[in-house]
Amino acid sequence: MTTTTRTTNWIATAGLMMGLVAAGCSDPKPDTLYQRLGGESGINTVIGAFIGRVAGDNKINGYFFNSSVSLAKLQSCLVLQVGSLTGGPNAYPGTSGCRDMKAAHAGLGISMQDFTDLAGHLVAALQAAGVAQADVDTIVAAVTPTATDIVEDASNNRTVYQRLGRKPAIKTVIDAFVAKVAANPKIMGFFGATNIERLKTCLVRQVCSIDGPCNYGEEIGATTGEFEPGVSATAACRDMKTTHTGLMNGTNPITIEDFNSLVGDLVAVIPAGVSDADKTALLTVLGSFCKDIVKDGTGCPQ
Amino acid sequence: MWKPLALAIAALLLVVVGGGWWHGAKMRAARKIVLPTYVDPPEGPRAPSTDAWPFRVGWSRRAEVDAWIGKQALRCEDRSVATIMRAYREQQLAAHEAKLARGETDAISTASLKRPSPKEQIPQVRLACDAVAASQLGADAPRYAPRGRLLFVFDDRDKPVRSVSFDRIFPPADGSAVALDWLDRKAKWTAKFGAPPHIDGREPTGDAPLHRYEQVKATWRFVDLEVNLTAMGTGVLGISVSETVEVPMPVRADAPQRHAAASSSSQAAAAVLASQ
Repeated sequence: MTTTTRTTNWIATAGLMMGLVAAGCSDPKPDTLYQRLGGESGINTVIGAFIGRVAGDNKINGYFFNSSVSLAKLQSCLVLQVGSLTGGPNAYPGTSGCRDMKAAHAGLGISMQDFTDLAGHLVAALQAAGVAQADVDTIVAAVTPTATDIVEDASNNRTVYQRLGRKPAIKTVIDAFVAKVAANPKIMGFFGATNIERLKTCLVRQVCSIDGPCNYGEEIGATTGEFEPGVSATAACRDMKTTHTGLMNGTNPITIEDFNSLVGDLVAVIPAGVSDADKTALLTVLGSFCKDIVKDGTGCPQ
Repeated sequence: MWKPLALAIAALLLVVVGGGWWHGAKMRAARKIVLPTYVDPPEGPRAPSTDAWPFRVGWSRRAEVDAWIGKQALRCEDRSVATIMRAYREQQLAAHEAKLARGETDAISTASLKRPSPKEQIPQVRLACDAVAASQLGADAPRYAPRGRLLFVFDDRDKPVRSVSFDRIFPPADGSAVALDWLDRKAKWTAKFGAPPHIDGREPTGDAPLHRYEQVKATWRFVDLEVNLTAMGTGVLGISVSETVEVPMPVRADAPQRHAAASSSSQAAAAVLASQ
């Protein structure tokens, strides 16, 4: 063998060896959506961001701002569900204790617009995480059929809550109501030294609980400060009797004329487009508290 | 050897005492009443009169009201929020002290009841007279109204009356009486101030009484006075009619009086100048 031949062989061998080493150091391309999402860890990050977006949307966060809802459990179930949908190793619900979609959402009266808003946040969270659009589309296509098991109000009008316009619209009415009461000399004094933000939060939740997602008394506060100021798990909204103790138990109490003045202020701010039936449902909520506000319930509807 | 121990004890005392003071200051601040900010009325038409039955909103003081109440032999009560809450706390304290005397509770629990609640600092005065016959309101009395509640609201005990209202409730079957009362009172205020610029809702008629929670409101509004005539169906309990004459919030309660004084001074000054 000549020197040139030996050198050529050496170079070729070295090149081959380098190629083999290089090939062994690089990761293989992920071949499942689950892997492309980053596995459980990546999905957990996306779901965490998704829950944050949902919590920041006052149109739908009412379903989650109740102490009976464990956000931690929700996150772990969603991670498992997305993992299962995208080729992950664990089936949903498996033995996780998570419920199927129908059972988990039964009786909540979720509307199509609730579902659409929620799905929009999932898409946004995926896109913000840099997930390829084709993969986002795949996930959306997998999630969309769950609407059949989740949505109970396809026309967005089955409940007073939906017809009023969900929490944002309720909040607008309550803001106007509280402003009107604060400017009514006959009754404004009863609200002196009151945490007005907490009052508004509790009133919104009270109306939301007529037939909507809020469970009055199950306030959680900590993560909801922006939308539900003044309340927390240890400072939940109180029942009317407790709230008015002192004002109705004193010797010179709140009377039916004062209560009617309060009702009149609420009547005055209900938007014109609200049906008579929904207006009555809204006012009946306030009316039902009469006996807890007016001493001895004198003059209250029986 | 003792120096580090003394330092540690001093530090601990500082934290406990300082922390306690800071917490107390925070609690005191939280309990502080935030009073409304009263303002002068904006530019615009002023009410030619602030008469409310035998009183003048923005003028009549507590002494005048008390004198009238005495003359009418009415029984009226202080229904100020501060009074209600103070009475309630004193009631609770008396019950607690009785329990303490019987050994059924401790002094620490009683201590919190000795501290006034924030609502006891609210300066607003509400003087309410129940079951007042409409005829007692004088020449300007509602002619078709039953007995009702007369309410006087003062921002504080030193201010003139801000709001005078007469609220009455008609039985459900009295649709005609409600309509008569409504028309009578609307005519009265129209004669004084002109037709109401605002009527929200359906005016009651004898054959079509207001439904439950159906409300109609006629408003006459000036920059220093607002008159509201409101009728609302309350269902089985009947129909409530409320007539309120008040200096609107947040205008200062004495705005009508101050304006009159300022006008009088201007006129006097103008008269002096004209005579020179």
